[in-house]
Amino acid sequence: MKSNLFCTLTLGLFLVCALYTVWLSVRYFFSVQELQQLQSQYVTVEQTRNAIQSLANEALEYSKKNPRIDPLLQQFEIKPKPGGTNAPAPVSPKAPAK
Amino acid sequence: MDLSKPEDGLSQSPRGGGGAPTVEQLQYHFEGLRGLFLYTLFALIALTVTLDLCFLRKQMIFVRTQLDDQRPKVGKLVAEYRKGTEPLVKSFTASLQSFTASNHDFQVILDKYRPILWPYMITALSEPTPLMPGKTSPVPPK
Repeated sequence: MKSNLFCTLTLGLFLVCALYTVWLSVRYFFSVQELQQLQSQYVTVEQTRNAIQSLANEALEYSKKNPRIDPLLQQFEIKPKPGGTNAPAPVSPKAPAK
Repeated sequence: MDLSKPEDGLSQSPRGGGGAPTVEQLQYHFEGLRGLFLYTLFALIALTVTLDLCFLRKQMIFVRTQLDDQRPKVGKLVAEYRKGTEPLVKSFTASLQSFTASNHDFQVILDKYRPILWPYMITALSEPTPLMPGKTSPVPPK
């Protein structure tokens, strides 16, 4: 009888351990998933920023061959306006002047 | 209960002899099996506790620390991006697209950035869906 009780207690202990492992694993899984989502968002934002900056650079380079793009670049303050006193703008689009 | 006793001869009955097994023989084998079962249980408990404490818990703490650290930073970055940069990117790419309609030589430059900026380049067809997790650089729709 005593031995049966011991067996049951050991089995119960094992069950508790197993449940704790499952709970920990599930929490770990969802935490890693959330971390990956955050990293993915960060990478997307950085990629878009870099791409738009490169695009602005190339558009500026293109404006040397085709000045018809100048109004567009000036609108986004990528290229200074002809009569303007502004220093050469940083090469990334800014809010268009209204 | 003596765990070490039964497995020194499971196939041999304590009293030997053939014929139908006696209650004592069955009891002997039962005790042996119970001992083995308990050993297995102890081993499994030890394994589970080791796995929990030495691996899962450590990893969990590491990941939670990273999450707590990165969540506000990335949240702020994304909020700023959505508020400030995204509308600008949208209007800039839209302007470039309309410029490309009359200046086809610029199309080559624009196409280079299509894989990354495609959500902002198809405004006429559908609303952009940027910042979708797991879709950092999908193939642009043709």
